Amino acid sequence: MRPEQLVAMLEAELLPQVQKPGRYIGGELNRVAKDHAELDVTLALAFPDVYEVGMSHVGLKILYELVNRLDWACAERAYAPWPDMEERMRERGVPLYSLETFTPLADFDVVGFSLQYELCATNVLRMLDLAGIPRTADERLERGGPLVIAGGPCAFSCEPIAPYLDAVILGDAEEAIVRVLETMREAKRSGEVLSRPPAREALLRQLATGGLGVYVPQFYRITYGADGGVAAIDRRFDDLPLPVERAVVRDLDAALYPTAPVVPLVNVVHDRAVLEVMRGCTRGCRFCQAGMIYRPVRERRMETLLGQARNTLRQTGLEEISLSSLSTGDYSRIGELVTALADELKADATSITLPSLRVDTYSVELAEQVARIKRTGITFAPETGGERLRAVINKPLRDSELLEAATAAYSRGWHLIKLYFMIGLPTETDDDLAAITELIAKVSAARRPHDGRRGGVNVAVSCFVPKAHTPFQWLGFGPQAELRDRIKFLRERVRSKAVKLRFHDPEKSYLEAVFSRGDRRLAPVVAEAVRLGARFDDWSEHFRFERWQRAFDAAGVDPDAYAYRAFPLDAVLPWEHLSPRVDKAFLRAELERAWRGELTPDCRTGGCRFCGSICDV
Amino acid sequence: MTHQQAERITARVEFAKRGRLRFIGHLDTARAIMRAVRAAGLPARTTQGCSPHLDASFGPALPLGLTAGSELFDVRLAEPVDVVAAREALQAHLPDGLVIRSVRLITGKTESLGAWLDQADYTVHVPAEIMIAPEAVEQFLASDEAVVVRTRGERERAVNVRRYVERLEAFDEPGGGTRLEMTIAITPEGSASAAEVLGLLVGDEAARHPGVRIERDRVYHADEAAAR
Repeated sequence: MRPEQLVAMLEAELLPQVQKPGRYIGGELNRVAKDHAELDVTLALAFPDVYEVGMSHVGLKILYELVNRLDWACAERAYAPWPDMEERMRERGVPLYSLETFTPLADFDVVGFSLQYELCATNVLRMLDLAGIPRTADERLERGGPLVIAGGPCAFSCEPIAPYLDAVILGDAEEAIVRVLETMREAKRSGEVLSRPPAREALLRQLATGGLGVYVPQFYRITYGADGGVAAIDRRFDDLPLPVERAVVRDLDAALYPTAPVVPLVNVVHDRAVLEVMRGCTRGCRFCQAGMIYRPVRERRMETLLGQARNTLRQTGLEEISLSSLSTGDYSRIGELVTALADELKADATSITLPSLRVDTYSVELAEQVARIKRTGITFAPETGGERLRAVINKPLRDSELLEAATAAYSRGWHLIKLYFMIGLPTETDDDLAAITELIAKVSAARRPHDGRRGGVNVAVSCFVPKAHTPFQWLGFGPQAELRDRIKFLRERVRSKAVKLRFHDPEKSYLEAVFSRGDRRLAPVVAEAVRLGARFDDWSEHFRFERWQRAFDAAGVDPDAYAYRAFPLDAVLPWEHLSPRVDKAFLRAELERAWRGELTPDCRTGGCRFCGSICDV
Repeated sequence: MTHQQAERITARVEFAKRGRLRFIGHLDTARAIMRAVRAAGLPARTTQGCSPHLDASFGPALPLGLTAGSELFDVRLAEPVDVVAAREALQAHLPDGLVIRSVRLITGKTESLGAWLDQADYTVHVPAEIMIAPEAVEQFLASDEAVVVRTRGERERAVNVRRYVERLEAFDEPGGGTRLEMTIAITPEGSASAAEVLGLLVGDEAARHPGVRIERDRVYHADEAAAR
């Protein structure tokens, strides 16, 4: 379908009939639309969730600007259409298209998916189907089609969808994407017909051996053992890397950061400008995958950030700016940065959000700085109730520190505090759960001395999912029944009207556990789930656990074996060949320290622990 | 007026909403324009209080799916601006389909646009497949009752919209089809939508035909327009 036809059909027949049609029309401020006839390579950045979620994501904004600065390439955007739109597109034979030029995705040279969470797998398949792109890398080798690549945090545990991907960029994709496109450009120039298997395979081999952090799943053979686990991972050619090591931006301050991001037309989840103040976190919380796969800590200079803030606001008019990172409170000049920004932004009422602060009174002081412009919520993540269990997960925090921070927040005008907890952590007992309830009550009571009232507390409780490449990667999940008991335990004991409890669905967490610990034998399950109607599984309104159970049955796969199995320490892990550049020996030592309840200090202050990451510490 | 209390200055901006942009709603349109004001660096005033925002006001909401030829919004300024430069700067920071037609400065007190604008003109293009009986328009105008049923969630409500329709005319289009022109009053008690009027003439199903195009040509204050 030509773009003009597609637009005509959209305007007349589709857009008037769907919810929130503004998601599908493009034309936003700062979007870049180039003439494909003048380009060597075209890239579609595909986000396997709806516009409002995808447009809130920073990673793709970086790649969008980086690629669009090249005069020989373009990057355009596509998001998963909401079910009502998807249905109408199918009925009318309208293929998935890019928002910039209404070009069908199948006509791009490269389609790149951002994998932000495990449960987006069904949407990846649906987007390929809707684009008319053959699903598997094998089919595309035979029949041609765009090079389908992926990146994002779930690239490190992408095995369950590996057969659907031609190549996967591990790590900081801005370090690799231009080289990937250049390789594509050279291949096209060579006159080889890329739809022919040998040419396509040669291109993939070039990508895989280029030292770019590119993993080509079809070049690695997985053998399974009698115990049901992975027995061996082999490469098909000797020149392939094993393991594939992730791409790393060494100098974040010099790296491109987009100051003219596309401004969304409809209200999106995070409708604000974002400053990435630093990347990586070395606090070493043992449950946290991001804290392992984004090492080491790299900061941007304060002057750079202030300049980027000014530029971004001037080019977008956004009314809020977020200081983003895994732990913004750890930015070395956070106080100065916040004060300087608040002074500058107060005049035109641009508000500042600090999404990831530490639990201490200093954080409350920072929050008060930004409240000079507009008061936003205050959130602390103690993760669990007792100090013993916090030592196990290596998140040292004394209850007294949290209570001091809560007291400070209430006395400075906040009425509501948000707390994050996890249940199902290793070694957790009823005592730890009881400690959570006591802590919540104490936080709420911390307002009493201020004005005699109880403070509001919103509590979000999630289920611990053991993630690949963390010290807890060897452990099993849940089990579900036990998690439900723990939820009941908390519900029964937290009775105060001032406290609102919210729980993450244990069935969803279970499925996350299956997929974050899974291997390629899960790929047919994803296809079966799609056939049964699964999509937007991260959305409670669309998630149906029984659909997944049927899919597992039909594919003859036992999900319990994936979710609950504990890997022996010497086992070959399903993600063994994908390296975030953190040594397995380090992770194992951390697991052993967890069992002993020993803390490991942040290497930025407490000395090197030889995690294997490339850094200057 | 004291020395500190500067004269009140409002920029009144006339804009059009075209093409695919008709698929974004009133609040999304307002947000895009306010962001353009900020990005353009106009010396706009902000409200005080715990959730400060631009001191701006918009006219009555344009229904989703309609294009518009002349809508208005007001934004209070701290100091006068060059209106030509302001128009260009605003235009440079808007999405495709939002077109700034003019900017003018008003000194002194202004009423909120939402309350002040009380009438709008519409043009409805009806494709040839939909027949409009020649007497339908006459009958509509001759009657003093024309009831539509509005649903909001579970609730249904019958509304007589006849009294809001000030003018209704039908013209044959050169290429076939019909062009309806109408003037509709916007009152504190309520108003009619052009789609409702079309539905009364041709039936609700025909009114939803994908070939129907509705444009709000302009929205204005009736007394001021008459004075001109």
